[in-house]
Amino acid sequence: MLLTTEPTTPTAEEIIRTHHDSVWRFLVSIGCEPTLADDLTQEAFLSVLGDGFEYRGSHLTAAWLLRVAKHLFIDHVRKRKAVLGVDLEHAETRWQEFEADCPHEKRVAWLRECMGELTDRAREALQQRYELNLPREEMARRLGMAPAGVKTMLERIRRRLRECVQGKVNHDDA
Amino acid sequence: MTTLEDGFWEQAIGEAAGGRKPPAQTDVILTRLQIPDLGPPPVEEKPKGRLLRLRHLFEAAAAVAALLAIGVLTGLIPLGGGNAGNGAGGGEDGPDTPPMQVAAAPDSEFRQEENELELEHGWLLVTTGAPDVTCEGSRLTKVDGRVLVHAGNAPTGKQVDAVEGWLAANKLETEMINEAKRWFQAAGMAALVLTGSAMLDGQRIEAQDETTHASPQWRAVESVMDIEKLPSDAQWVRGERLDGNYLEFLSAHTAVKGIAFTFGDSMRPVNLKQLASMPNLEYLEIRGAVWAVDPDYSPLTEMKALKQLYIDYVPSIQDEDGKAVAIASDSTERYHILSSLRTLSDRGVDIHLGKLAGLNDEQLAKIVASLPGLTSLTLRGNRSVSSTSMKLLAESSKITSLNLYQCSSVEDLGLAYLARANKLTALTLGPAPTAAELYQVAKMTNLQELTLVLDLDRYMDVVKDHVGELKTLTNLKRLEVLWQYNPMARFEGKGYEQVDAVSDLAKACPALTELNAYATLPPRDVARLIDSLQGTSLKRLGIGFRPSETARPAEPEKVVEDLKDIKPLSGVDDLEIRLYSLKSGDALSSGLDTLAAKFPDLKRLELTIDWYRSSSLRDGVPEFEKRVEAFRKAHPDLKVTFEMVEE
Repeated sequence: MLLTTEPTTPTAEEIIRTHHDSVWRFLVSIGCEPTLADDLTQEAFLSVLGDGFEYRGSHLTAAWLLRVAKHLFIDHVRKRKAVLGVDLEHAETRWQEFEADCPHEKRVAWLRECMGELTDRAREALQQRYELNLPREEMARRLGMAPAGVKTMLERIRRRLRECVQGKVNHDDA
Repeated sequence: MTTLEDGFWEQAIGEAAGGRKPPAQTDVILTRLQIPDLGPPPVEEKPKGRLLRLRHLFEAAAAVAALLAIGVLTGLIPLGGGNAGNGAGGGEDGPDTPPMQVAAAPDSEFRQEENELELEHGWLLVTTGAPDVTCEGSRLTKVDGRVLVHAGNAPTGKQVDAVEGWLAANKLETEMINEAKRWFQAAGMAALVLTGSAMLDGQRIEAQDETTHASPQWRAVESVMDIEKLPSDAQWVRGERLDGNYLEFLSAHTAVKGIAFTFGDSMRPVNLKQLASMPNLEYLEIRGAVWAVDPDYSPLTEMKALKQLYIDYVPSIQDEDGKAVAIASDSTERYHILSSLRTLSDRGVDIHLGKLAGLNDEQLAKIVASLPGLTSLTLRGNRSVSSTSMKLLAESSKITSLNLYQCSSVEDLGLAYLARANKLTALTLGPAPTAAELYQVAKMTNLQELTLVLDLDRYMDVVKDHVGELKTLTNLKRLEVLWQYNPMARFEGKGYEQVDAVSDLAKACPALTELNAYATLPPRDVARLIDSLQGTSLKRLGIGFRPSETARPAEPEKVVEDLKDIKPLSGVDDLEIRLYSLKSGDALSSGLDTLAAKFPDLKRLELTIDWYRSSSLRDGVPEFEKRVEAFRKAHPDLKVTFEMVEE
């Protein structure tokens, strides 16, 4: 079990609180359904913090947790003979780079700022897609456009948001 | 979603737009951490053992039945109670029939003693596991592969002609058998080792290395200028990702025997018609072609000299936006693809078929039945074809090369059929081989090329645990292993087990001349791998390399430090270093000189970068290109290339 005698070694609770959300977000971002991500995140912590765990710093612990979570997800996909939507080689490293580039809370705050600059129709599309989780056909019906048009519209919105946040990141770096 | 970064952004945008957030489950995890793992339920040993024994009996019976079936189909076992291979000794039970590992030619005479066969007259085809064969005091033992034996001296042309039908039934080429220099002559018999090895009167005899024959000298073309400048005696030409209309210019070179025109763009039937005018064209490879109009393979049938064809079964066609889209697998009939290929196959052309991802067992069976000339199949990515098809391929085709990467419905059962037939010389497997599958691979002793593509490092651990079994693959000439190196290996208390497994296997294969270990190996593992390959006969070595073990660029001094003590590895004249990242400021530039200096026989250095896997990690490419140019100038005797590769 977890070593707690050394003053520099965090407790299991501290490790979970520090890394839990990042692991969950990582799983969702590589294509894992949110409800499955709940379970797999738990399993990842149980696997890493079980017998034989030795703390070697926050960065390595995060890398280990992400890697275990990725493997759990790949196993899940494979058992169902489904196909991964994206190559996951080095996914955990790339996720850590992505987070190091801009902390999540700051990125989300900037995304919200950037969303404020979108048209009402674009914001409506975002709400339907992410908050209401509507299928594309239903979005098309509500927005009065073809399903292919919805796809194009969302791609355009995503691109604009990424550019907007990236501009803020660059400005912040400068 | 197309890239990892797209997925990262999608999650962030979703959360910012009111989508799901991470749940609060710290307490749940803490509670679960306190509950001891009960482990799997206890197993009752006795019933399990009994079940296993019954299963083995069943498997043995099935194996015998299937081997008998194979023997009848291929002529390995004579039909008709031994008339075809009539034994002279006989006995109360009538004439001898050879054991299933041996086939006797018509009118041959032999006597079956305990644990040996005495050949008196004629021919035997002896395969792995056969009893000893004796003749006039000479003895053939330890056959591992296929050996053709002739009583007395090497056969004359007339003797070969007399058994032409039997040779053909066993897929033996008379041209090769007529070459006296291929035969090993002992006092009482002559032996020709077709594959593998054997002992003849205590001397080890081996199949002659096909690579010792003059290999084609390929000339690469990238432009019409290159084509027009080809010497008039150029025979082998390759080009990649060129427009199909380049073939018109190529067709003017009538001496050309072989064309590899892969991933051709905007192909049209007229391009193939132009090639049909080339009188000497024996070899054509047009895999990965994207057609500008409806694909049409019928002009191929006009290529009178054609002997080898590498082609897609389900070709791609350009859509309205110019993107390549595979045609529907059930529309191949509309394009008369199979009928064109059948015409070629009937004419004796060896067909190597790729892009069969959308096909099922039934469709594949139809193709196999229609194309007796099918020698290799790339089923990569096919999730429908099952082990049933492997039985068919093992028993009813002359396929010797199979790519089963990502064929998730082919399990160890399918590999067992292939192992039992033991006809494969080349196999690609992945991404998650199991112990049961590797067990079957170990039985494919005629394999000369094995490629294992593994998507997680723990599947490399599965391979590692079975290296002992795989050491039976002594005929292997080329071994390629791709795996995701675990950058956390040392953190998890592991050492060099994975690279050691690769080198252990390489060392167990005396015929191995090419080894490619493609993983994101950090410098220390690269050093370990090269050092542990001392004593092998490698001519070509490919190594995957990632200078830095972390997201940060590597420190030049550290890389050189890790590489500087490698012992020189002689024999290797072709080295490929495959990079998985080239970050600005990365240190391979310094490591390059150190590494190249460790190969005293080096003639060619191929620097490649895996384009897909290095995405977002290659901002140092321009800087590295300059370094390569400087390296090239400093080593004028070395052929140095730097290319992007896509898996």
